[in-house]
Amino acid sequence: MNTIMKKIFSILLSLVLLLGLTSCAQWLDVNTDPDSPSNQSATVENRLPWIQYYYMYGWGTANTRTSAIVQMVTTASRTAAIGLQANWNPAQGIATTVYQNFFLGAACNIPDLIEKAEKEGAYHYIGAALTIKSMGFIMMVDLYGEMPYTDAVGANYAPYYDNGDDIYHGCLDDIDAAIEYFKMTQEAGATPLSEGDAWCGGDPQAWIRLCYGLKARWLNNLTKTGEFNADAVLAALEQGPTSNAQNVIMRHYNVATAGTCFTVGDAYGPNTTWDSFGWGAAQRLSRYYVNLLTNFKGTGVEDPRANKLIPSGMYKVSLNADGSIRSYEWLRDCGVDNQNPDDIMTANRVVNGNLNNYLNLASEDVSKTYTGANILKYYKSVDDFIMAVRKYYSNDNVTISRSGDDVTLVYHPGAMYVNDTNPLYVEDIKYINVKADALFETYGLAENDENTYYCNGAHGSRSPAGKIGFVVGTGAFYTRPTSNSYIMTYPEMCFIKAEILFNKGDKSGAYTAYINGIRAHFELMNQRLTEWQGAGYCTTAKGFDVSFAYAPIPQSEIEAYMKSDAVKQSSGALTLSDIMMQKYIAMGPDIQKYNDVRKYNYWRDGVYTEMKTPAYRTATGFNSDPSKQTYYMRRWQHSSHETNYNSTNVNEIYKQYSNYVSFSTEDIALAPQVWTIPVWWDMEK
Amino acid sequence: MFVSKKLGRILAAMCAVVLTAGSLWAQNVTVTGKVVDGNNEPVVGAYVVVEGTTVGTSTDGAGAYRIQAPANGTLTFTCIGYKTQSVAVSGRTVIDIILADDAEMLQETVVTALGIKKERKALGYSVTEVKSDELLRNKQTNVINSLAGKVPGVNVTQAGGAAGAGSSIIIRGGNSASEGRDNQPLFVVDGIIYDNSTINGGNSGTDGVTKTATTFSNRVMDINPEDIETMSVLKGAAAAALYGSRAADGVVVITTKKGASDGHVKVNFSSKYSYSTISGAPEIQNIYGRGSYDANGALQTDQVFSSWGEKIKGRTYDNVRDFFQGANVFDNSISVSGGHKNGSFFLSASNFTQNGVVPGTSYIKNTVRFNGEQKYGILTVGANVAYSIADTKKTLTTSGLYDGGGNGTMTALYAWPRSENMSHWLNDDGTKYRMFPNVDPSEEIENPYWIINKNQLTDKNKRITGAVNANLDVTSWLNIAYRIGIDSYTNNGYTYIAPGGNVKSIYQNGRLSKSDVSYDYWTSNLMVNAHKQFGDFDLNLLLGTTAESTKRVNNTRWGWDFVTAGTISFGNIIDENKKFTESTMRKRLVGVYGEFRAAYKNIAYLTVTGRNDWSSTLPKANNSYFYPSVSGSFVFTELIPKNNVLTFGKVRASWARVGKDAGAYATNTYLWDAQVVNGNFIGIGNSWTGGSPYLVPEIQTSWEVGTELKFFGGRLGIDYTYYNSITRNQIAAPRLAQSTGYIFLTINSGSVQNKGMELMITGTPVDTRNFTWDVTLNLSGNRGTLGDFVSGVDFFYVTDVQIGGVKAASIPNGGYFLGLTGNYWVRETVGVEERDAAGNVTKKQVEKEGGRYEIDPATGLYKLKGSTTNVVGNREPVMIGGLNNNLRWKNLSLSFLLDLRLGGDIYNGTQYYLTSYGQSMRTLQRDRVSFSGVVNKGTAAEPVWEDQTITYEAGQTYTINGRQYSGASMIQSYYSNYCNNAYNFIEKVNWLRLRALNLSYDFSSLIKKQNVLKGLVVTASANNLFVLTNYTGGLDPEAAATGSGTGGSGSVGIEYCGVPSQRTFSFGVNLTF
Repeated sequence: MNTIMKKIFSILLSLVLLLGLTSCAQWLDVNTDPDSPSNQSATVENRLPWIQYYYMYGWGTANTRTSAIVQMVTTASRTAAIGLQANWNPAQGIATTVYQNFFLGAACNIPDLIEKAEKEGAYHYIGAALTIKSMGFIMMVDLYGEMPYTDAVGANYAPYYDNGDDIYHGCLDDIDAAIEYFKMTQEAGATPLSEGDAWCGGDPQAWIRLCYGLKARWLNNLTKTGEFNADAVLAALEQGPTSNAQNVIMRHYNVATAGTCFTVGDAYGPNTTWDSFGWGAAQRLSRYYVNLLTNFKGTGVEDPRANKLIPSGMYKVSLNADGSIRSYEWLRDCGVDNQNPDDIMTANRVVNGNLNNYLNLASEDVSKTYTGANILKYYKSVDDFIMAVRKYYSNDNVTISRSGDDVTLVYHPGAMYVNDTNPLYVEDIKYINVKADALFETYGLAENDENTYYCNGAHGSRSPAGKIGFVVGTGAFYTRPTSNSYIMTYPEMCFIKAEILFNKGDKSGAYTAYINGIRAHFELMNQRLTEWQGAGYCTTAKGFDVSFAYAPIPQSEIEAYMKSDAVKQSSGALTLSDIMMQKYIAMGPDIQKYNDVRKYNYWRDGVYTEMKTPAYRTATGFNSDPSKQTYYMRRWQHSSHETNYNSTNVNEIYKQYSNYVSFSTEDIALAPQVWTIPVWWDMEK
Repeated sequence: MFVSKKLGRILAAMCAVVLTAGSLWAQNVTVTGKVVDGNNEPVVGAYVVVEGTTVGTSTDGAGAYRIQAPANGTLTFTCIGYKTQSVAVSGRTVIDIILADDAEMLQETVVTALGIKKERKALGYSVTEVKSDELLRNKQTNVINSLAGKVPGVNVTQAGGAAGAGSSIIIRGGNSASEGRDNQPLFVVDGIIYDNSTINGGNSGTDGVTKTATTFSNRVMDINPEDIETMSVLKGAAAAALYGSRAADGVVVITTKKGASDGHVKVNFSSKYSYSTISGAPEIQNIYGRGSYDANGALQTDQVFSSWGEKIKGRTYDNVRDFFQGANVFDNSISVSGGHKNGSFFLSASNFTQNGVVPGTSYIKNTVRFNGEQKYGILTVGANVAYSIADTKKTLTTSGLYDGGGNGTMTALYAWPRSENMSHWLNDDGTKYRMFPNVDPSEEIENPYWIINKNQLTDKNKRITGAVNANLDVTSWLNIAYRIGIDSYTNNGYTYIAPGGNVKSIYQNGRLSKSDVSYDYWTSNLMVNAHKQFGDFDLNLLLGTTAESTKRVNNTRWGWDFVTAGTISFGNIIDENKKFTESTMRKRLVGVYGEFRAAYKNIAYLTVTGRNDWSSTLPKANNSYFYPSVSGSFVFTELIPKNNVLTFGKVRASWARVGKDAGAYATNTYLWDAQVVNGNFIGIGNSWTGGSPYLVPEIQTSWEVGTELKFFGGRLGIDYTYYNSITRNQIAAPRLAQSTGYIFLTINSGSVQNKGMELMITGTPVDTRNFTWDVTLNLSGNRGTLGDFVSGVDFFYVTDVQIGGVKAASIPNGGYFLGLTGNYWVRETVGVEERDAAGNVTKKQVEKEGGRYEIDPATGLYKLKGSTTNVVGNREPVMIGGLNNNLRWKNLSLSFLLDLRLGGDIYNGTQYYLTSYGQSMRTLQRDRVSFSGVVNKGTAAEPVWEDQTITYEAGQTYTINGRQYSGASMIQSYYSNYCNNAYNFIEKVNWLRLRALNLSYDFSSLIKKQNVLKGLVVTASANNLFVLTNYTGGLDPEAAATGSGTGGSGSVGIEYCGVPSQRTFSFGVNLTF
């Protein structure tokens, strides 16, 4: 019995040991979801396009929101997010999307991409990862001043902040490292970069040019710091894009992708700046920007780029008996004057009341009566009102009848009108929406919005059969669904060179670069316009000619412009303002414009002339003295995700700005003054 | 074996010393003998002690003993479960003893962790055991409900009165503060962990079947309550410590019945019929009909469903009372059991058929079970298997399917205007009657009759559980037990939304979903137990190992738009409209555990346990965790003279550390679905829920102290416990700064602290031959708080529940575990001085406690603070308890259970809902409302508060912020503003309910003169006869908005448009053959 017991016991004991020690680890290894691929399995060629897209989405949103600050765009409503930006009356809400797309869409994938690429020796992917990482974090610094960097996307779930200069230096180091990776030959069998690269088609040389272009851009931002080195910028420029053929461009597609981006819910195909700048009913260009193209520095010169960069819409439409359009005229957007608080009616509509967002197209007679009492609030006389109406409506459009001081307008089919009896809004049809390719029978209805994805090739084909094909807006060059994203361009290189040489006193060198920059921008635009023309975009599906907006600019018009007063004809006449304001045009909606404008302190240093304080700037915490840096919008407040969930660290990093931020509130991060603190490279000593 | 041999020799030597010491003072003889029980079975492990000395031994596997004793001495034989017997040696050398069973002593052993029976007085922690007769006294098909009011520290919440609706059970407060974490105890049936999930196969992303859409069963309902012998509730960590990482929420150990080994076959048949009605319904105003007044004062009735209209002139309808039906339950069960000295069996079958109070709903459960045991010498082999099928027919309750449009039955029912006849849901020609025929159906409220008659929501659960065990009594002191068991079920959910429904347009031509969950669990458990007595010391060492594996696969198919009317099939749906998903969850766990027990006489007891677990759900680097516990008890009455007042007194204390591992797969980051991006590239990227390679388990550290006192020979007993537990390293996925790369990252952050007291008083006020009265009062109160959030985590999303104006989520650091957050009316502010970092004094405006409400001139109503993270209430009751009475007069027994709750907030979501529709009695002031508050005539920084009283009269017109409004529309606005102040619906609720009343008569003594029928008991009972409560609105405050499937802090304390609780009358008969 004893021996049997012994045997049983030893068998059981060894079973226990076997189970407990030997096979236990393997047996427990079941913690990988068999139904979902994990970050361990994602391949480099699938990861990079994802990172490129989400970086681009963040960049596109940053473009729109910074373009509002620098008076390029605003919204019909001054309380909408972009409207608040345009009025320097900022709200924390705008601070999320850029940050979110960069961190959740791009940054969290970068360590995994690098790890995978290292394993297979796909060095070019490491280069791409480091490049985009640097672009993203520099964008974070340019907008927010500082950000978790060394601690970001790691083990710490309340990541510590790094100062802006440390991030800049880290990113510049990464760019140098990226250049080295692009110069390396990939290991045999490693995935070619071309399989996952939507930016440069897998060409390492193009990436290297991008890297040098970025270095030039970033080093040129450092003029207020002690480490600014003009020669280093010039050296980098030499190795950046040296012609438009070398521009780094991301192309976009006007397709309704099956999935939509998880951050915002937009389709993956179209231009990511369009998503926020050119989509929706509310966006309008600002008068400051329109003036650059129609009255550059007060010269009264019409820029041949104006028709491409400013949207136009149909008006004075007459219909045939079958409802088709017999005749019409084009009305180009005049831009919302965001800066003039004095003119109650025409200049500063955003101050006086929000623009009417919801324009309607009459499909049957619509009668609106405007009372004399109301008319006289905004117009000197009832006659003035009637004259204003006649500017925008033909007799075919509108029948005007007057009874005493009351005026009744009957809008006939084909007339665009504002559905309100307040005469304040009657002229709002002159503010053409930036929304691209808006070709609807009626306008402002939600069900039409989704159609904007589909206007591929045959322009306007989604206008339903039998409808009149009314062109509400042509859209604008940079912000159509199919517009290119210009990541790094030769025109920018020219203007950086012009700026550097000008500041160094090399006027003639600066002048050459300035002229090259303007011409290069015409060339850049014409490259894309030629493609659009070739794809049939110049005629709508209903046969309307929109070539003024889509066809290339004739060389004769370019030459005329180059000889006009808008372009300085000699190096002696050239000013820094000429260079920077032409660069403003040539950069489209790029966030770098915000950097440039801050660098020269908006209009304070005499560079961005005609720019003024937004009329609706009522934000508290801003300095009231325009000679002070803190008078202007200098950075963005951190997003609520940081101030809610990382508040200790945010407040800690802000403490260095006790000169700028009142400490009377516990939560420095939410103090309105935050918006006025210069980022590290912008801070005057 | 070598070790134990050596140890044995040492111990033997020590014994010899003791024995030698004992032999110094008297002439000793060697006594041998055998100890047997009433069935002549050897009593193993009985202690034989020479009275007045420390000399003792224990009986071996054959019941034999050998001891040196003085020839004139006395031997005392003691064994758990038997009456102690003392016998004078009187010079004898052979003394055989028959130990009589001790019913009283038997009560004093309880089933503890791993099914080990222990003496109650040896326990250093609180365990409450509920036995079969108590469970069956107010038998509930969900055994969890049978525990309500009976066990201190246990909080049972029912999800309303729907047939088959589950209940949740929380012991000593929840310990995990996030939605994905279950706080319900571990259920163990006959040594096998028994899954008590609430299966909701669908979800918002697939077929839209969410937790609030309908009711679900918790799977412990699959047990036939008649099969249960005892239920032991192991409340604290120390009690449950041997379960290691499964022990944090307590354990309910269920032992099923076995056949008696008396050689007889017993047949037991019980049959019960019950009739249920709703115990209450929401009070709904009967004055105003459908309609709404616009700003111009014009009555709108087109497309208006709410009841803000005119006074009803014609007939009114009691739609709610007319809707519910009386419900029948037939509950039959039979068992055959028997056995002899070497084997026993128990076989049972049951059928439970319940119709719901909502027409068309039902719950049908069939079970069979076999338990058998056979002895072969020192080896005992047992097997048990149970099979159950549960069928539930349900209805949508508080919402339609997620993102599918439509509405729930209960919400529509309660809001149905009294001016409208809800039962008119079909036209005479059989087509659907539509209240608003001109709008798209998606904009119309669905008639409850349509929902219950046309749609189908069912689930079917088939489950098999079983185990095989072997028990080897190697020697008198060494026992080896092995058990392998499975728990496996499939759950088939089925949801059919009939064509013609008032749902989103894509579903208007019908919608079908099927969801299959298959659950498989197996476990293996080896346990070695050594028990020896050394003089006054009784030592026990237990070592064991366990391995378990869990797999759950969920397949969901769904589709919409039937091609041909009348065929409900995926085959009748085109491919583009059909979808499916599959998900798999796997978890494995290995544990090694041990327990050392030592007892000194009957005075002091010490237990030390340790367990090490390896869990598959934790990162490999740190998936090994050790869980220790120590507990002890001290029977101080052994040291004081025996007296008639304090018969027994014991103090106990314990400390333990247990845990909870992570959910499956949390350590990895998964990817979003691949997308076509940037033209023609396939892009993939990490999801915004990050993997957590640094996770450690939640660790609960808990201690408790208590005392157990018995007075007057046991006529009065007091059992008191104070406990304190803190569960650190909460595994949660709080929102984080996105600079982490993620929105949600499963991290260890924060702690949940629970502390509380439990008191149980048992008494037998009357105990005579013909009349006995036993009464038990239990009271308990728990206080749960959150704390220790790591930097970066400002709120805990303790559960998903979000109803009306409140959320049970977004609780700040230091807040109540069961907190409620919500919007509220702002009060006037007062300036408070504070110093900034530089030492400057600044003034800050803060709301004045109890101050006047601020009126917002822009709305003409009270100003609302839309802060969703403001804590407005605490759902934790101040005290819960029960008073359980059992009276017997001869063969007649009467028992009743009173259940009480004191304090704690309940959100009256139904009143919120009714108010928003103009249905609540609170909205009866329609001609004129008047309210007072203050307006700020200064600035926000320097306010000047001025009293203002605002009155709105129905016939008047008011200009507010430059716009004109009719008085009638302002009165409506007043009520919708009223809805937004969460405090208007938060009630501190007390109740006293007669949960169960039971009258039974035992005819057994009257039928003695025959041999067929051995027992006959007839029972009449009632459940939920009355509730005395200060809760307003007519519904039972007990019902939670969502059922047992809600994780984290759950929906307890949020009552929202549920199926009303049932009041049940039953008549039953129990026959034994």
